[in-house]
Amino acid sequence: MPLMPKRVKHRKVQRGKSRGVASSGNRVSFGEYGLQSLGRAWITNIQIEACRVAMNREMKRKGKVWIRIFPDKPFTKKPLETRQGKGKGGVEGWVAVVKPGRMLFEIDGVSEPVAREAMRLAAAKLPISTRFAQRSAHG
Amino acid sequence: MSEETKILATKREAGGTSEARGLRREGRIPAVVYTSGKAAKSVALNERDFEAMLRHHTSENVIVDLDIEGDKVRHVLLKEVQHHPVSGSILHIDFYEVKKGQKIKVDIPVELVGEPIGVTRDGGVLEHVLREVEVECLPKDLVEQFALDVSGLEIGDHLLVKDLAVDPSKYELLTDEDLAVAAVAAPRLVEEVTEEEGAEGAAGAEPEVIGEKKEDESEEG
Repeated sequence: MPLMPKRVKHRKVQRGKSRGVASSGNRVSFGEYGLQSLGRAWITNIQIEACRVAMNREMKRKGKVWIRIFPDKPFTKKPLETRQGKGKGGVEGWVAVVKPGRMLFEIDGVSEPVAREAMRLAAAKLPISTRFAQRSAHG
Repeated sequence: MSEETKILATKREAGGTSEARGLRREGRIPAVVYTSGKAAKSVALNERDFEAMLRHHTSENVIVDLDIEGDKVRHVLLKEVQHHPVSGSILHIDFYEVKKGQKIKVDIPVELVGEPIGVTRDGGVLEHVLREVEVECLPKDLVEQFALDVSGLEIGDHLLVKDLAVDPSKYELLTDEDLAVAAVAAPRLVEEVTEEEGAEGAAGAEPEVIGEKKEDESEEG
């Protein structure tokens, strides 16, 4: 089942702005390899799930995967062929707001070529450009 | 013991963001030197020289001789290096002045050596749980990393902080000695959620809204 919050304070939220770069969650912190965002986007819970499945399939269920983003923002949509007005549409899905530099996924317990291929497949499911990151002592 | 290198630095007036940006444009990095009981000194150093020095070290636990123009040479520890989240370029450096006989607290990385039997023979997964340990030591005893041999680990085995081959006369471990550093876990057997199940769950689920009354409750009230 795709990710979404269990409890929320508000059913619908405003769109908001996405400015600047990721000030936190921008390093490989748990695993050995990571996939870092180079652009900004709303990543849906379905895209995150597709990435998770692609990575696990490539890793043949070995190793460990960390998902560093969580879709906690609801987005709404008006039904088709509806006139404007009559209030905000219903909740259509959940997204994670991603800024440049954000570490999206991390992997550990597999070799570098396997990790690279798993991240390549995951990146193909995302609407932003990304890069493969490695844990480094120098930031 | 880590090598000691000499880095040249110039004094700068403690300015704001625009001054720091100007320095970075010129290929210099803003930095600060401080120690306990003394006022901090703002300095700037050459980006190329510093990056070249850093490339020769596996970790950022380095003691260098900082030669500030018009001031004395200071024995400093690289306390923090700030990097840009996207470009990775160095934004700012913190140097901590150390005295030769005074102990310092540092986080030293733990490097796992060897391939565990549990991984090569039984297909387990090596988990590197703790990547750094905090120690107190003299500046001359500072090392870039501690090595931990994991080749003997089987599935279910683990190594703790106290298993690190650390000379107790030189290093005082400040991290809890019973914390696990490395463990070999059994290969995971995760059942993949089928696409149908996933779609069904996504359509039906809706999160609970905090503070909102449920329909049954409102009817009763």
